Amino acid sequence: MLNFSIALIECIDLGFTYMPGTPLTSEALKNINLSVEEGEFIAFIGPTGSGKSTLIQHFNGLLTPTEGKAVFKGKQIGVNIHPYEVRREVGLVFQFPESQLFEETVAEDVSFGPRNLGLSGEEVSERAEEALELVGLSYDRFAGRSPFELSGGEQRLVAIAGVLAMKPRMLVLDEPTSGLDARGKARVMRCLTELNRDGMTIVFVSHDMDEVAEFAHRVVVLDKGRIVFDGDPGTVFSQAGVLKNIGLNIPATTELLVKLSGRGFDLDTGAVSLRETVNLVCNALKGEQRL
Amino acid sequence: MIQLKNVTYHYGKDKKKITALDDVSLTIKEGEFVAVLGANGSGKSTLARHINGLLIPSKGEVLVDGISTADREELWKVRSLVGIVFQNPDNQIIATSVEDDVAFGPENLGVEPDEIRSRIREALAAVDMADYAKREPHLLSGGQKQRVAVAASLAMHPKYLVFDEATSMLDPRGSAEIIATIKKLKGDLGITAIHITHIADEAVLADRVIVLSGGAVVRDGPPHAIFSDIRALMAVGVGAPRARLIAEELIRAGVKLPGTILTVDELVEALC
Ligand SMILES: Nc1ncnc2c1ncn2[C@@H]1O[C@H](COP(=O)(O)OP(=O)(O)OP(=O)(O)O)[C@@H](O)[C@H]1O
Ligand SMILES: Nc1ncnc2c1ncn2[C@@H]1O[C@H](COP(=O)(O)OP(=O)(O)OP(=O)(O)O)[C@@H](O)[C@H]1O
Ligand SMILES: [Mg+2]
Ligand SMILES: [Mg+2]
Repeated sequence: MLNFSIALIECIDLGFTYMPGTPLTSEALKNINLSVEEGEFIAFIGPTGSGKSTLIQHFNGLLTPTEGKAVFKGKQIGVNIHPYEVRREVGLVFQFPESQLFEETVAEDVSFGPRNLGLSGEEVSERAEEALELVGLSYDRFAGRSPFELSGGEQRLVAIAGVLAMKPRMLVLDEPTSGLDARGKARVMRCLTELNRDGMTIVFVSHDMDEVAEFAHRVVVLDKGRIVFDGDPGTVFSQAGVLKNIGLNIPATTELLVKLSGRGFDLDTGAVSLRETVNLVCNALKGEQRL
Repeated sequence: MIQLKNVTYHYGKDKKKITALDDVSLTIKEGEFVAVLGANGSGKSTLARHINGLLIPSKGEVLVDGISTADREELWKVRSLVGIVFQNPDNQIIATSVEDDVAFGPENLGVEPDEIRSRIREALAAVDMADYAKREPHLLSGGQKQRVAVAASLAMHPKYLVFDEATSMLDPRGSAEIIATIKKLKGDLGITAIHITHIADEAVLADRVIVLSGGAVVRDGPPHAIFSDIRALMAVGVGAPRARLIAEELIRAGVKLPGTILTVDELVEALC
């Protein structure tokens, strides 16, 4: 098949084993075939230890496959393109944000990425300020503080701001909203949605099925290092049985529709977003002249 | 019983002073399952660190079974009564194997080796990590580290369990299992659990919900009472259970529903 558009990221028969050939060896990924196109908004879900963090660290060359290859815009990472080059275009927020913070002040920490891109001092501070405000941290209150003397959620917001400030082509976030309060969660997800609308490719890991249902356009499910589903949220969340078997769940919206349908409501159970769900329930009630 | 009497806590001093707890008074009784909610930076972790004496109040006092956490001589007693799981499991890893990590607490309490072995088995089974006993805790996935931290706290057989977002990186089954374990320990052994979380659906399962804002307790009561006014909660950065959010949208679209719904099952019943 001829492929005219080149994918942003391609994993071809990718496998990854931690510490191969030692007693501590562990095979984290097996036979992954996947491509991420420019402009996508993808959620990776999967039970504890299924390989999500390991997989997404291949997207910016932080890990090198032990089998197969990871390709960035047609170039094999580590062979035809240096991981450092990839990292200028693919920003990564780690699962544990603390591991990403190292400067003395919040402002310096958020400035580190843009400065490394060679931007002018003025532009660097502009971006840092803008990124902090985007995640809801007031520049005046937080800029001068030590990132190590913040609450857990505040640290995560700083880590996210640091990567946003680089304005990468693609953003990879490992459980970006875990540890955030409801307001912070909503703000970060809204921000990602807007960036995606402006063309940025977004990949995130989440254990929150409702968040995935609401925001992702595509869902990739991992289990034991393999991809078990890859599709739109409606299709993936119609697999309640398999998902529950591997330790996952379905969003509350889908659960409601399935349960109502089981109680005789005439409605399509494939919806996942809040708005679609409310519309479906209202239409069903209207059908029964109850609304 | 855990008592906080007019507890105020400041980090730093002078111009850098931050008041993380502001005159907090609370009593947590034996056998209670308490959820603590609150926005980022509202003081939840600071509160947790006061319960095992890791932090000592700048003003006021904390009593665990009548022992003041400021009494350095008795601190070991407080530490043996309170098992805590910190927000970042990386900060809690002590040993180079999962089983040694879980053994550390009971060893320090002087528990017999045979008993320690059985506690390791039991605690790792409770968090579904029995197969990882020989692994290095640093080289685990995020959720696996969190499970090990929970196992380490369970193995101490503490009277009070403090979980600081101990379920934040678990898969849905993992979180549900932790909540089930709390309920079982409470039922079988009368253990008291304080569960800090941002997930309103988990707080719904507790006996009592405490809401912090700006270092002060702003709400305290049973889940149904606390979640009756979700606007007040949202104003302090706390979210509502998912089913309630759906119900609110339905009400907005003209559907007649009670304003008390907290679970999908309650919503289904109200619609049928
Ligand atoms: N540094 C490491 N060294 C050795 N094995 C590792 C390392 N990191 C992870 N693993 C193992 O690889 C597997 C996949 O881990 P990974 O961190 O990718 O999982 P995950 O899907 O992100 O899980 P979680 O939801 O718990 O974060 C797990 O079995 C884990 O124990
Ligand atoms: N080590 C520290 N030094 C100085 N200030 C701190 C320190 N740790 C926390 N703070 C500040 O104290 C306040 C309360 O922090 P705390 O960690 O208790 O919040 P939290 O409710 O646990 O938040 P989160 O939900 O983000 O974990 C915040 O304003 C935070 O910035
Ligand atoms: Mg992970
Ligand atoms: Mg905290």
